[in-house]
Amino acid sequence: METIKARLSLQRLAHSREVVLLITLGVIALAASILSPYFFNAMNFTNILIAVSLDTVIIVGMTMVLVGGGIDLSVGSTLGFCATILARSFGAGFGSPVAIVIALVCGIAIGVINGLLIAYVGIDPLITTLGTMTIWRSATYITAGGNPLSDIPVSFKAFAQGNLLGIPNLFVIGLISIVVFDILLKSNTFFRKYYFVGGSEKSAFRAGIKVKWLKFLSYVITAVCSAVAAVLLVSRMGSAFPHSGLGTEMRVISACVIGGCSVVGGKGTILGSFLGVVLLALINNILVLIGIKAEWQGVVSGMILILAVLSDAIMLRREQW
Amino acid sequence: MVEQCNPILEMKGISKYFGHVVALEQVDFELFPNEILALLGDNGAGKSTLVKIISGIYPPDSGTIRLYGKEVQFKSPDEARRMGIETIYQDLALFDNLDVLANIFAGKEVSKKGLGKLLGIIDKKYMYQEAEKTLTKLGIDIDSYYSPVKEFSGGQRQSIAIAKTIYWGHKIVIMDEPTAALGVREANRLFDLIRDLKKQGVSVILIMHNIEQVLQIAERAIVLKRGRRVGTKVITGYEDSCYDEIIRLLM
Repeated sequence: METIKARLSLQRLAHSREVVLLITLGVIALAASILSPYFFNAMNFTNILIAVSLDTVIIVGMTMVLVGGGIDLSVGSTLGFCATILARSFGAGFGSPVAIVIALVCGIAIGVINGLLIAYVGIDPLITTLGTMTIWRSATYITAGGNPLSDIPVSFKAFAQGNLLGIPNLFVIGLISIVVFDILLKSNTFFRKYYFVGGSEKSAFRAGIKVKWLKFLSYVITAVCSAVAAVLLVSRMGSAFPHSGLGTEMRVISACVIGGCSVVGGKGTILGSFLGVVLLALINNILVLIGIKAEWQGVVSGMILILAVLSDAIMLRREQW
Repeated sequence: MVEQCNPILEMKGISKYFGHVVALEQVDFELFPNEILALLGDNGAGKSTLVKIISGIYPPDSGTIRLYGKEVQFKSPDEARRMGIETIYQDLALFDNLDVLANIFAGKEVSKKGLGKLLGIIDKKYMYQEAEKTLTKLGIDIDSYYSPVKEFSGGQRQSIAIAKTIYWGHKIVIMDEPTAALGVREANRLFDLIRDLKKQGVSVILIMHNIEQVLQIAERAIVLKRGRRVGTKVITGYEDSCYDEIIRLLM
């Protein structure tokens, strides 16, 4: 009996996307150490952590949206727009605290618009956020006026240069976000309801779950995550660019799906999505280290995405037949 | 003998219109404690409408509902559920992506005590024990409480839905076409479960089409036709006279 139980839990472990990803990451890191002498050192790891910081924050919200059965294409534009607003606030003479609050409020407003349209008006999330993605990108160009905005205080830029116990500050923010929300989404009675909503909206409604409120909230959280990422971005780059965040949505959604989220909802964890982000970043890092041209990154990332989904499809088939 | 006691649920003069369409016209309905009642009628007879009014999905245009002798008005399905009326739909309203525990506690998962309560952390151990108690009481055999319910057979899934009802102490269970997707053996297993529900003091309203199955499980049948109640039959057993009378009422 005990052995059956042990085998069952082992089987379950092998089925867990998080475990599979961790093993994959280990194998890739090992291969990278052999392929390039520059891979296994503190400097390179710091670079990777900084590279994944922004996406790490955004996947927190995106995972909630995806688990709840939605999608948010507007995260990149929200990131760009909030970054521009932040830079403009500095330009207008506001100090860091006020400027950050303005950027975050801007994020909340964008999230509220997405959430209202999707949860309460009932427009398809793909279409709604495709629309807001276009609108906020355009608004970013208008606000930025076509040039990078570089009037950023040195003290604000210093944050991105700092570290906590050797971990870059940028990543500390990401790390806190994923640890807190990974626990909440997995184990908190409120946040767990996203799995019910994503599993079956109708059943969730019948079970007395406030489906609309939860959906609304997930888009607000996602937009706030994008705004936080915008703050990190401006601190790191010392500028807001009109094209900041361009393509972020596709990279973040890819990472979440690689990490075990399903676009039909009800599946995925924040830890999994984070491992998806790391996997994509690691691959890009290795491609650079071994001297493959940056143009090839998309080919490899795309193939990984399809491979991840393919493995799901094959597993699902086995379950059905 | 069931007729001697007061009904647990009594509806009088229920009417419901959808535009010009009359769904229900002055329908009276009563359900006795601990009774298995079949609600019969052709397509469009008004069975679904009546059941939806009972489960609080929409209010009647006229008429009164008395539950446990007290007049009530349901504003939402949730309110009806809180007052002890649970509907088990054809799709069972299960969450295929989630495990047995999550399904039994759907939307009402229990948090730990102390610090865990402050953080709203779910108490898996407690929920496991409670689920196990209920499932064992009903004689339902499930090998893994942590497997997503999509991995289970139709009969097992139905057992889980019923266990959920029992666990939450619902007094009235409405089942819409519960045998539609089941084979003969699974249907018989379901009937055992329905009898178990009765043993636990629950009243069951069954919407069914198969009259042989109605005779097998139900104790009384109410027949609707074009939005009106046309007859009632106390089912004495599996005999031809019963069958013929129900058919006559349906025609």
